This record gives sequence, structure tokens and C-alpha cells, in this order.
Amino acid sequence: MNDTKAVIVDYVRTPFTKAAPPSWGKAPGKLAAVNPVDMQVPLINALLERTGIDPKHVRKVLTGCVHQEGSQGANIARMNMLHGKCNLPHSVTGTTLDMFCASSMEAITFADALSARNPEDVYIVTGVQSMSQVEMGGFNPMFSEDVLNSNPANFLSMGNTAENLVDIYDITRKEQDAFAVSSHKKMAEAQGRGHFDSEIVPINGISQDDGVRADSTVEGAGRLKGAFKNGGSITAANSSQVTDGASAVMVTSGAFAKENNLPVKAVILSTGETGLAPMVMGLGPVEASNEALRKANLTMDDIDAIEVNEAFAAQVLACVKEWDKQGVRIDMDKVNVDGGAIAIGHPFGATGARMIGHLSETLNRENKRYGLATLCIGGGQGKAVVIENPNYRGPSL
Amino acid sequence: MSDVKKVAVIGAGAMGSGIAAQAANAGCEVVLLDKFEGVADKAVARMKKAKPTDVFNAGFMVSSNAKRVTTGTIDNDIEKIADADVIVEAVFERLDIKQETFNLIHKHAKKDAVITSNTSTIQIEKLVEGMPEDFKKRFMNTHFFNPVRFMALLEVIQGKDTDPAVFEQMREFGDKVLGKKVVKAKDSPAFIGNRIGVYMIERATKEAKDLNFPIEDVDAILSPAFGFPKLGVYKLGDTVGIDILQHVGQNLHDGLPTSDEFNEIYDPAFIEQMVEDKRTGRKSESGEGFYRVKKDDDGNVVTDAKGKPVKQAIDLKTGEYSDAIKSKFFKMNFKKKHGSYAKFFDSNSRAATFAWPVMRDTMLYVLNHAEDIAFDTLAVDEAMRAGFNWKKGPFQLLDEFGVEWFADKVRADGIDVPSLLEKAEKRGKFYTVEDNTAKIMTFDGSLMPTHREDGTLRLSDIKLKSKPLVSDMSASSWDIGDGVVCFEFHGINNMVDPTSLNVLNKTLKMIEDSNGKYKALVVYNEGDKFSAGANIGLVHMFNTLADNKLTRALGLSNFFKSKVYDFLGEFIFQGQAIYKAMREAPFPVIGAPKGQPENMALGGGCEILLHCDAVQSGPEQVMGLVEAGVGLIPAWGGCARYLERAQDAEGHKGPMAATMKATMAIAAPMEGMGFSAQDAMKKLWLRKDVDQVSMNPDHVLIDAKNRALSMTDNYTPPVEPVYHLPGKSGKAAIRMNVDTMYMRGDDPNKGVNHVDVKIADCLADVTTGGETVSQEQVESHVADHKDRVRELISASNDQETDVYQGIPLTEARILQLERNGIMTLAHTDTTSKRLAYMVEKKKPLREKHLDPMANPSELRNELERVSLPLRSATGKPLDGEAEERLQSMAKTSRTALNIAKKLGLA
Repeated sequence: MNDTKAVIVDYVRTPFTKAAPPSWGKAPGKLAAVNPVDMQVPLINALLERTGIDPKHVRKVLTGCVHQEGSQGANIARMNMLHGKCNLPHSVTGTTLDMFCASSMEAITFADALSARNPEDVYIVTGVQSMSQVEMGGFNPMFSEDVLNSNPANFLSMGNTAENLVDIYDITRKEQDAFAVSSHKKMAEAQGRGHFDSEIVPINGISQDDGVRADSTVEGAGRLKGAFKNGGSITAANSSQVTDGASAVMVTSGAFAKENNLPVKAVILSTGETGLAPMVMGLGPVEASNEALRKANLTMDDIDAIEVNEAFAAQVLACVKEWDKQGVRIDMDKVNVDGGAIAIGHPFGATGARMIGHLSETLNRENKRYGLATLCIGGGQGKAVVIENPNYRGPSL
Repeated sequence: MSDVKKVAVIGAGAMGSGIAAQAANAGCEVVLLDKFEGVADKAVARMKKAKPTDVFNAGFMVSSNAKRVTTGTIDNDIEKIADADVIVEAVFERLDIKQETFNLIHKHAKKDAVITSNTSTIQIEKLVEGMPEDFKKRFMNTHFFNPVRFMALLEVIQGKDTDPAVFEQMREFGDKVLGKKVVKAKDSPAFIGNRIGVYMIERATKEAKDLNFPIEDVDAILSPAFGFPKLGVYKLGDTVGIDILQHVGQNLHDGLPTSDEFNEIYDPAFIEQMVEDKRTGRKSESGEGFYRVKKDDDGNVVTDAKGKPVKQAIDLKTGEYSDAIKSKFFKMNFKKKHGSYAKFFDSNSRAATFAWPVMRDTMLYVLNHAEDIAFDTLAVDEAMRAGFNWKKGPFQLLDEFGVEWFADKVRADGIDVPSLLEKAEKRGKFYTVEDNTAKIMTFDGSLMPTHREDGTLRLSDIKLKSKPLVSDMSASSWDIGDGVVCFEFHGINNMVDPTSLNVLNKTLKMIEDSNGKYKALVVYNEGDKFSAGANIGLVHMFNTLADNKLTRALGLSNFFKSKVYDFLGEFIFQGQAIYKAMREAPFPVIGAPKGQPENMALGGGCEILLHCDAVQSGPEQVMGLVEAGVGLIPAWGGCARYLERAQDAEGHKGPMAATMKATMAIAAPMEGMGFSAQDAMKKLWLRKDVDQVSMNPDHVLIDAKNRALSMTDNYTPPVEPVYHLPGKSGKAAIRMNVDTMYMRGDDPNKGVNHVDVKIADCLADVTTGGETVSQEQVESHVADHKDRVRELISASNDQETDVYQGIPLTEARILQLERNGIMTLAHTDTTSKRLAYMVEKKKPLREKHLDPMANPSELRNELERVSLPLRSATGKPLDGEAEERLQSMAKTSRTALNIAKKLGLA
């Protein structure tokens, strides 16, 4: 293991529960009433307790969160340290980041870069999103007119970008629904097998994710109408869910982990990103991953487990098809082995850290070596991170 | 003349600009032209900027009305009057200038435009001399009073060639659209108001000089003691402008025969000198008039020990100023002191030696000349009330003095009794009731109704003709015809106490049980104030009875206090329950605040209006929730209603918008209040799409009744709203705002002090929906998804869930929070002090900042939060036990209020 690389020493998250924005008129989500800072503090405390490190080593909390307004405003990363129950001292600083869906993945890459410069410092990365308290789009969506005018597609809704991919890559409704159903099945099984037990920190007596529909079927999914386009195929069933939740990882340098005898869950090998046309933003993972792989000196074949954010089934499938065109074959058995955003939900700010964290859990549990976490980003971007399991014991015989 | 769409005003001085603004207030398109460039613009800008309390400049009811006014000059923009329906000339008081203007108008106005002059001195026949016939036919005088927006009087004078139809149309326009008290006057110098008013000033001045009475004494005597405005004579002169006084006086002198009593005493030299010295009062550069602010040799204002500027008063003989004295007659109630006006005038008190000759001669002047200036006696009283804000007109005053006594005293002074007075002597008084109708004796000795046939309704007329349907000490209900009932406040300041609630409760039941006989309710009264809210004097009285040296010494203070809190708690619930029952009653309820003369619908008096299906308001209605000023929060559903409106207006902007708006409007009432009906509409106290304004306050009752009747078909009561409120994090945001304002240490009269911090926090609890929902509260406080909320509560360690905007809350929730909040504050010393101060000084207590300033969160922690048992109002009038309790509290209140009356406390 290369001691200069940053490592992930622990990962936790809250349960991910279905959000209920008031405008929907639905029953309140299970974590809907929880203030976003109240969601993060127990996670931070859990990381400190589980790792046993002295809080004085923590330099900064980096928080990914989208629509930083209302209860998500005023630099909620910093708010953590001002919370009466948080075990971090006031000397820890806080910065909140927004890179839309990749926010907490981005926060991890920032921690990675900071750690390289400051190997004695510990970074706590959180991601949080209450889509119940601040609805998708925020309270006052406003945009640059010039940006809209230079290309109306710049503001295409996410669903419509996915419909674009459906057309370009000829993805059938059945394929999408089948993918969606499999995400639910994988998650249900993973829940049953306790694959999330070590990472979930209960909040207010809630300890289970509640987005999964174990009994979902292709027929059932097939009954829904397209949600974004007349006669379209992107539906609520084959899209990510609107969710409340928070996640957190602790990032240190390899040297620090070694000196303090901290078990390392994953080494951050490389990061990659890309910018592309907003109207096909769903393809973001492709070039972002390619870049990350290149920088890690690996190929897709080297990757043992992949977390691709399931913004839309069609969008994941489109990426697979694009890679195929590039001569890169994706083994679907390696993809989202415990289910993805279609089943688990996509609380924007929290997703990135959850994906990387859970990927490291998967690698460790299954004794695998290399992992790739990647997502597409509204506005036409993609982000990817390649990690290595340092506890990999070699191929089993 | 509701088809008057456009009004042109020529002359942008004080009167012209005021008339233009009032026409704009009424919804007309307006053109305002002046001879000189920029004058009209400046006038509009001045009126737009003026503070609401600056009555001489606040011409626009809301500044956006200014958009209706187009400005210009006579030279460049006269064609703009081409499509005006009414053209008002308000140029300099000189015949030649006016006639020049008329010629210009005649050239450009459309054929059927009505042309009027606002002259106060020139006779109409002189004005139109030499004008063509068609001009004379459509010409008349419309004499407005300054400030046009607020002074109700509009004297109208018909020329001998004026087309009666045109005259009538203009009269209707003035009455209905501009909302004025239109009084027809004869074409005599200074018409009615100024003729009498200026005579009195002249007479008072003569007497003051003869008796060596300082002007401070004159102002103290000719004051509310006689129903005159607080300003008195000389302060009024300063306000109106001494140049105006001089001008009117001059014109009276010129226009009246030498034998007129005015000319007998007319002595303009002093005032002329004042004008020459540029001491014209408020408007002058120096601000000097009869009174002035003292300045030292360097021109700096001299202040007293309290930092207030020292005032000086002029000597009517020498013209010198000396420091103003506080008159020993200040606020003296002569009638009460001596038992009657007659006894006062008959006494040899110093005040009477001045007051008698002045009042005698002023009344005689009226009696001798009423027929010269007006078409009936009623018009004279109407003019003095509406134009000079006299509470009682001259004929009413004569009745108060005693007509027979007055005539005898006049005779004893060796003066001839005017024939009009002799006629009144025969009847004994001017005003009487005949055939259950209020009437006044007019010039020929016959009686005429005091209510002219104008299509309006007067509650006082109805009260003469009928018995109330329900009545108790502070409120009654009346049948006002066509199945409509009127609920009337009539307690002190029309405040609300358990007797009022008892009447309302009974009234609601009566209407519902009437089998269609009664089909609507109007909430209206003709008192000075619509209502000053819940009777805090009552509360304060119980408080002081409960907690004083004796009860404390006996160790009974807590016992009595708990009884008081119990009473208070029940009183609050009753108000909530009955207002809610009124709102949800199966028939239309229309609130009808006149907005005159003292304009207040505050606190509980505002809350009742918020619970009406619609409000028909006079234009100058001031309304708002001012409980914070006495250390309380609105708790008769006021927070709930305002939150509902804020949600409707702002809801889509996120959970804080409505909450912040409601909190600020209630915590800072001086900004949040509506200072006119149109202003109230901006601030959500009145609803733009539902509530309406009757420009003429005298029309409010008939308009409200008609509105009620228009809503009876297929009437459905309003639905209870659902509240989406931010909970704790919202409260944190409000606390942060309040702390910031407090820490600034602003002048406690304008900013937030240590007491306000606590009040704001109790209010924030309500406007954010409270912090948590417990299992017990789910049933009545959560509007939907109850099962899910119960699940969340069971799952949590604390057995409660936080409130956030996704948990829909019921009205019962808000009402419970209101009760908890007000009771929390009622237990505090600071609230007791604020209540006591208001009761005593009739203004809110503004505590000085603590030194050193306190920590705001410590202040909040001092509050012991009261959490009352859950209790929901049903939306139906009180019944059974609750009603019995109300009736017993009404009985207690009656006793208490009677005691207070006897002790002179009420």
C-alpha cells in the first residue's frame, strides 16, 4: 500500500427513507422532520467512536449538499461543530460543497487532495439531503437567461436527458423495468443478509431503509406511464427515488492510519471527471470512469465491483451500451451488487459518500480488490473514484 | 356619477394636490396641472413619501395610488383635460386668475364635463361672470377642506345657472366616490364652516386680548372640553397656516356688510404682521407661528431637562414670544367639574369669564346667520363636525348648554335673542325624537329628520325604532331589516369582555335557530373606535385585586392569582371558540368597520374582522394585532388567520416566508399595522379579492348589509385551512433575527428591547407551529397522515416527532399554541407592568434597555412555558357547561365594570 494515498478508515450512514415534499401532500417521510444537521451529527459521533481517534486530529468537515437553502443553508458543514451534541471541537472547520449528485463524492476527492498536502490531518466527509424539507429545485429556482438561450437543452429535466439516451441507445421499456426490478431484488436480499447493518446509524428510532420494494415486478412496473415525455419510458418505477438521508466517511492519510492503528477500509487510488452535453448528462460516468481508470493504471476488466448511481435505469444501461461501443464489456453481476438508487433512494448530497463507502464494504466482504464508484451529474458532468481494498488477500483457491 | 373615470385638477397647491390624491384614492385617473414647471411633480412626490401619521402630506392611501396621477403644466399639458369628466379649479384665490383658468378650461374640456372651483371666498356669480351659458350650466363650487383626504366636509354651492342634474351628479360623486360628507351651502362668504370657525377664532382673540388671557389658556379652554379638537384655536391656526387665516379673514371682511358681527370685531393687524414677518405657522420656513420652538442665539434648538425642545407662545398684544406655560385649564373637564355647562358658565371661575363670552357670541353668530349660510340647521352641525372635527355641532352644543338657560342668560347680558333661538325655546331644544325618528328643528320651527334621504342606513336610527334582539353590558344585536342582524360593540372604547362574547354567542345561535327569519350577520357600530380589542383593563383590574400588598401579606396572592389565570384562560378560550363559531356559522358574516372617527380595530377588535366572510371597510380604517404592545400575543385566532393569509400569499416561497411575514407583522405592530383600508389590503389585514372599501364611511353599513344579502344564496362557510410550518429550525431562524435586532441596542421605542425578545419567542412558537407533536396531540393537531405521524412518534425515544412543514397542522394546533403563548406571557411581571401602563397612560410602555444589556437566550430561558391541557373549539357556539361558565363570567364582568365606572376608572 502506498502510504501517501488517502484512505477511508470508516463509513456510516443514516437509514435512507422516502422523502415527502409537502407539495406532494403525502404522509411525512420517516426522517422528513429531522433537521439536516441533526442527521449528520450522530454519524460524525459514530465515526469518532468507532475509530477511537482523538477529535483534535480532525481538521475539517466537508459536506456535500444540494440546494443549500432553508434548513440546508448557512454552511451546514460548519453547523455540525456548533451542535451541542457533536463531539468535534469548535476548532474543526466546515465547508459545504455542491456538485449536484456528486457532491459528497466530490467532497471525498477534496479530502483526498487535502490529505495529500496535510497527511497529519483527518477529514470527515459527510453528505446530506432532506428532499422533504427542501424540495428538488429549491425554493427560488432562478437561472442565467444567457445559459438558457445559448442552448435550451441546458435546462432539460433529468428525466428528459434520460429519454434522450433511450432514443440514442435504443433502450426498451422492458430492459429498464427489468433493471429496476433487479435493483430492488438485490437490495432486498442485501437487507436480509445484513449487508447494511454495519453502516446504518439509527435516527429517532428509525433503523431501516424503506425505499426497497421486494415484491416489485416487471409487469407492475410496466403499468406506469412515462413521467417526463408523452409516450416516454422513464417512469417513477425505473428512476431513482426521492429520499432523505445522510452519509459520512472518515478520510486520513495512509501514514496517519498506520501510526494510529486504524483499520483501513479502502485506499483512494484515483479520481476522474468529465464535462459533457447536458442533454446526455447520463453518460457522465463513461468518460469520468475512463479517466479515473487511466490515472489508476487499470482497465475496466481489473474492476471487481462497480457502484453506478442509478439516476435512471435507462441511464445506467446507456452507459453500459456506450462502453460496449468502446469495446469495454461491463459484467452486470459486478454492478450495484446490493442494489442502487432505484431501490435505496438518491438523496443528492448523500449519495456519493454512500456509494464509495458501501463499495468499500462490498470489496471487504467479498474479498475483492478494485472498486469503481461513478455517477452522472445534472448540467452535464460525470465523476468517478477508483478504490482499492488493502485487505484483499489474493484470489481464493 | 360613478361614471366619473377621469378627474383633472388645475393648481397643484395644498388643496389641488390633495384633491388629486383623493380622486386617485377613489380609483379615478387624474391629471394634475400647475402653472409652474415641476410643482405638480413635487406635490405627488411629497405625498408619496409622507409618513402615514403626517396627515397634511399623506394624501395617498397607498403610495401606488400615485400611479394614477399624470402631472404637467397648464401651458404644455392643458389638452390632457380633454377627456376629463370632472375638472376642478384650485388655483390662486384671485378672480382674474381663476377666470383666466376657466376660459382655458372651457376651451379644452369636453362638452359634458363638470367644472368646479375650490374657492373658499369668491361668490359663484362673480366667478362665472362673463362666461358662456353652457359653462355656467355645468359649473358649481366644491369647497374641500385641508387635508382633503382626511377632512370629511365638502361644501357644495349651486350657482343660479347650474343645471340641477349636474349639481346632483357632482354631489353624488363627492358623496359616494370621494367619500365626503357633502353639505349644500348658500353662496355666501366663506360658506358655512369657515364662516363660523373663523368668527370664533376672531372672537376668541378679541376676548383673549381684553382679558389678558395667554394663548395657551385659550387653547386649553376651547378644546375637547367643548368637543373641539385637542389642537385648540391657535395650534389649529399654526397647522392650517396663518396666511390662510389672514386670507379668509380678509375675504370675510370684504364680502360681509359692515354691520356683520364679524366686521365689528375684525382686527387683522396682528395677523397681518405675522404674515409679513413670515410667521405663518407649520408651513413657514422658520416653523414659527403662534407657537414656536425656542432657539438660542446661534439658532440651536433649546431643550429642557428631559431633552425635549422648549416651546414658546406669542403674546397677542406685543408679538413677543415667551416660554410656553402649561395651562392650568389643560384637560379640564368643565362640564364634569361643575355638573353641567350651564353651571360652569354661571360660575365665576376664570375659565368661564373667558369661555362664556366667546361661546355665547359664537352661538349667537350661528343663530343669527345660519339661514344666510345654509339651507337648514342640520347642515350647520354637519359642516362643523365634518369640517372642523367638532364632536358636536353648534345646535347640539346649544342643546347641551340648555336652550332655555342659554336664551335667559343672553337676555340677562342685555342682548336680543335671535328668532331662531326663540323658536327653539318653545320646543325646549333643537334635537328631539318624534315617531321614533331623530329630528332637528330647522329655520321655520318645523322638525326635519337628522338623517337625510341618502340611501344609507344608520344604526342610531334603528336603535330608536326597535329593541335589541340580544343585549348585555358591552354589546347588543339588532334587526337591521331584510333578515340581517347587526352585532354591535358598545362598551368603553368598544372593548370586548365576557358580556360581549355572551351576546355574540347568543346571536349566532339565534340566527341559526331562526328558521330562515335571520339570514346574515353584520358586525358594526357607530362608536368612535370600531374596537380597541379585549378589555385589558378588566384583566389588569383582576390582576391588581389578586396580587397586592394585602393578599401577599395574607399569603393568598397565589390563590387569587390562580383564579385570575383561570378566568383569563377561560376568557381566551371563549373568544377563540366564539370567533371560530362565527366564522363557521352557516350564514354570511360581514365585518363593517367605519374607520371613523378614531379608526381603531385593534387586537381582539381586529381579530373579529379576520373571522368574517368579508369585510366592508371605511377608507381610513386602522387595523392590526397590537397585543405585543401590552406584553401579550393575539390569542383569539389572530395568529391563525394571519398565518393562513400569509401562507396563501407566500406559501410557495418555502416554509419560512409565511412564518416570517406573520411574525414580523405581529411582533412589530407599528410597521405591521394597516394605516388605511388600502394599506391594510397590502398588509393582508384585508383581502384584495374578498374585502371591499366604501369610500364614504356613512355608506359602510348599507354596503355591508347588501354584501351580506348578496352572499346568502348557496352560502358555504369557509373551510379550516391546513398549516405547513417549519417547526424548530424556523424558530431558530426567528430567534436569530430577533437577537440581531436586540443586540443592536436600537432606541427601545423603535427597536427590540429585553421584553420584546420574550414576547417574540412566545409568538414564534405559534408561527412556527410549535416544536414537537406528541401522541396525545395527534388526533386534534395533525390534519392528515395521522397514522404515519403516530408511527414516527412511537419509534422515537422521546415519544414525539419534530414539527416540519410536511406535517400538516390543524387550526386547533395554532389555537392551542396561541393559548399557551398568551398564558405564558400573562404569568410574567413584565406583562403585568405593560398592561398596567397601558390602562393608566393609554399608550404602550417602552422599557429602557437594561444596563448592561442581557443575553437574549437567557431572557428566553427565564420564561416558564405554560402548557395548557388540550382543548379544541368545536366551531359551534358555546353550549352547556361552557356556555354557563360564559354567562357566569359575564355576570362577574358586569359587576367589575360597574365598580370601575363608579370609581371613575373606566
